Amino acid sequence: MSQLWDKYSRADKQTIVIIAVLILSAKLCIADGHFSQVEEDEILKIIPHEKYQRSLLIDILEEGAADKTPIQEDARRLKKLIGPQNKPFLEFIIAVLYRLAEVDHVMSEEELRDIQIVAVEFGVVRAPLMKQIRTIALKFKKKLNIV
Amino acid sequence: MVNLNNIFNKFYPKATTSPAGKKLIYMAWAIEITVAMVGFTIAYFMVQLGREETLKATSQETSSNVEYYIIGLAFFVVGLMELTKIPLATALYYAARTYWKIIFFIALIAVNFSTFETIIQGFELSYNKRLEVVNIERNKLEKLRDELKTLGTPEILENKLSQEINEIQDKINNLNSEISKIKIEENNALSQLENENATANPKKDALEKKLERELNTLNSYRDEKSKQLLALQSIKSDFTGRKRRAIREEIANIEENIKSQQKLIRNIEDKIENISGNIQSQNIPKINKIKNESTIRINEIRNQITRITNTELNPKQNEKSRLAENETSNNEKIENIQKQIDEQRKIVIDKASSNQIYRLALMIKIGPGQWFFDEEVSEDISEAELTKEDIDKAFWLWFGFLAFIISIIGTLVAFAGLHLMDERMHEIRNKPIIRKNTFFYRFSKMFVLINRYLASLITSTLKPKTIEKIVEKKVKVEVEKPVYEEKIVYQKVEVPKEVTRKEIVHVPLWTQDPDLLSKQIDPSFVEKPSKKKK
Repeated sequence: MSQLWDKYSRADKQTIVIIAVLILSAKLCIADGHFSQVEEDEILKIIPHEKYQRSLLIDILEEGAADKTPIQEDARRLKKLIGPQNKPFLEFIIAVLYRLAEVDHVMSEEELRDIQIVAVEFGVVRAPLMKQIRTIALKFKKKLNIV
Repeated sequence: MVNLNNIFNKFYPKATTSPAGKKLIYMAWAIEITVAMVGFTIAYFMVQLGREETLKATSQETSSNVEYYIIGLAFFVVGLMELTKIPLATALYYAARTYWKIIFFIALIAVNFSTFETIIQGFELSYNKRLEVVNIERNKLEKLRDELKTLGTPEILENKLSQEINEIQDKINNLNSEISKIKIEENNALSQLENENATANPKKDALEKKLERELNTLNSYRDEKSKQLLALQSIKSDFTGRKRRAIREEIANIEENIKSQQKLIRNIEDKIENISGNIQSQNIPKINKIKNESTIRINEIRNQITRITNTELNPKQNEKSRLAENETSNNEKIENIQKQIDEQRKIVIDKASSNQIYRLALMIKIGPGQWFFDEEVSEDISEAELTKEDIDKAFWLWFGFLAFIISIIGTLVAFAGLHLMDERMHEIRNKPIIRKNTFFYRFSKMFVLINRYLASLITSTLKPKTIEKIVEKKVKVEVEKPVYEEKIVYQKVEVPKEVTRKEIVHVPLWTQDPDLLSKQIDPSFVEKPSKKKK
């Protein structure tokens, strides 16, 4: 069991969702073995926050990066929390992960693998096909600035 | 505890409004399905009613009478149509082009109108069913009131009759005055004809003038004769009788002249008479024509008068006299009907007060009826005094308005749901509302400018005005006298300053150093003092 999920289990549903997104993002960024400053800045850019919340978000990102639970488990929990009927939101999270993967202009195999795992776990794609995932991500290209 | 709810709302704003939008869409569907069910029920009701009516009329169920099935199916289609409202609203909301928007809007209006009709039909059915019981009693009351009206109170009837008789007599008087007018016209026409003829014959005029002249001549002869006669009588001394003879001869001449003159006058008069006789004979047909015409018109009017008298005036007068005779029996009848009306009124009030529509109609009559429709309502008005118009007005005000709301609310709720589920809404919401290049901004700015202008105008008008006037005043001018003072002259006085200069003074010092002792001083070496002064 993930200690991180247990830590924030008493928070509001909306807060937990944001924490889960942060954890997923952190785990995706650390997948290639290096969590760069560019990636961190991009996450903070995507997650709209106030100045006073910045340090808290960074702490959660660090916790997420340090967490050893597989990304699949986090994705499963998040889907359970959001519910399968909120498909647009799940697709939006996939788009966020895609954006983070391409932010450093290099999409590593580990990152691609993690996105596919999350997408399959969310149920937005049936097979781990990157083409489909890209199509989903492009739905939000305007909002997330995906090229 | 960590709270990142605000982040979530900004991160995915659709999530906050989308569930509510979804709920609204479900609600819209619920409304539309219910309305569709109303349509289906009316369709079923129409088929059932048709069957019953056919059964009543022919006392056997005939399968060939399909008219009611057709009507039923028509209402079934109306019910189905209700279900297209939300898809149409969605199409209108997401339509990209204006002409598509217009088309969908027209379609939506048509469907809403159909809903309105369906709901009104439903309300009307219940309205009729509910009013049926009261209407039976109301009809009885109306009948009694009509009966009372026909009998009326004798005084009112008598007054009415006398008024009518007066009117008829006025009519007859008018006709009589018309006859006299025709007579006057006839006389005028005849006299005009005579005048016209007289002026038309110039020969008669000339003869008349000649006659006048001849008469004057005749008179002058006569005057002369009388003068001669007087002269004859006044002769006193005429011995020879010559004078008298001459006068007599003169008189005889004058008499001859008179005779011839009289003859001439008679001839002229005969001529005039002849001319006048001819004219009169010429005018006779014209005169006859005028007289005949006026006689025909007068006869027509007289016939009219006799007809009016026989058909209108006499029956009214007879009725009036009959009323006067039957006054007592009529009063008894009226009293009896009045009692029946009072009893029936109580029954109507009793039944109508338990009816919602009557209560509403009464409330509307007392409330909005007075406020908005300028109706004068007496204080003791009850359900029995309400007319059919009042009840219909209440129906349209209450149920019509309700039907209108029901017809549009489904669409409006669907629109609200679609709007909440729309992601564009959040983008639009975050945009600044008023941009400087928009009409709204300029319009609002105009008000601000007007406000400022008015404010400045008020302050400028309220501010006390300063009027500049040249007032001549005697001012004592004080001439300043020059004051001569001694001028202070500053002179430069050199003050001696103490200057300290450094000089090297040779001071012999006692030493035992052999090097120094053995050192010889070069007399040419003289140390120069430095120029710099510290």
